[in-house]
Amino acid sequence: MNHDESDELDREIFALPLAEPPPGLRAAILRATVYGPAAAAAPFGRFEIAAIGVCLALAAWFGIACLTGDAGTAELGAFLGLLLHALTQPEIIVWLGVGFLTAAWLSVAGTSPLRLPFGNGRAS
Amino acid sequence: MSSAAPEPNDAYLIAAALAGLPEAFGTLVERYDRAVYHLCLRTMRDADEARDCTQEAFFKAFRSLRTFKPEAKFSTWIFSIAYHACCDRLARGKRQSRAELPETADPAPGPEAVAELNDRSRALRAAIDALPEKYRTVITLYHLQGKQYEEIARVLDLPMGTVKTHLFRAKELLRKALVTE
Repeated sequence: MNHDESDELDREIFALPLAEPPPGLRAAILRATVYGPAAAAAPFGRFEIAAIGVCLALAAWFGIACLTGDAGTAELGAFLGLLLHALTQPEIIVWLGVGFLTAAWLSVAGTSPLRLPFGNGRAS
Repeated sequence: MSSAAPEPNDAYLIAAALAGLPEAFGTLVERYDRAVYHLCLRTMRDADEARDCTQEAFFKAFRSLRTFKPEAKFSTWIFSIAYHACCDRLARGKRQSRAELPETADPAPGPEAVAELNDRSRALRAAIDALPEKYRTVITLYHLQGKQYEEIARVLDLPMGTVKTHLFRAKELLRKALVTE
């Protein structure tokens, strides 16, 4: 084989027309995706939205409690002290790490059986 | 002089879809559905199966858009999903392998495609369809992606050296087939 033969074959390959998709294929794809269940491509899943909502509600409650300085603030301080103490225990930190890594893995891998094409570390 | 606005690139469309504009994904479908269908058809050699695999690939891509790595190419990603969808179907044995019937492998080419195909092109397409699967897939991706060997390797999850070897052997087989035509 010489370069001319190879180039000629390449030209012929690249000149081949693509197969014509059956009529209605694009519409079917769009119905199943873009015009399908709206949440499918949402930036956050349902569980993530719920978790973010809970965190925001807690933050709002904490902020209001601090600003108003009502009777609950002392209990809140005690609770935070307890939380801080718990977070300094090595075994709790380890379990929190395990939980965090599991959550991160689930978030990336999802729950569908889809094989991740770039999951082998060879992504560009 | 053209006043047409430049078309948004794939990364922009993906970001837009993730930001709550799913219609942007529609543009990606319009951009790649034909190529994905072509890959599925050449891999499955059955128009109905190819149609199902194409739909499945875009559906999976849409659902998994958040896992798409921005530094990757969308074409490579969608081809990879489509190729694995085809492999899964073939592995599940939902389709029995057929005898090599290149002329009937694409039962519904468009009229313009038929008109474009001269004898030599028709022979080449028949020769590609008659290749063993591993060579046929590499040649099909070569047709779709050009000389982007690394991208082809990613789609097939193969080392680049293997892709080049398959491509070399595929071309040899094609050349022989065309000589004997």
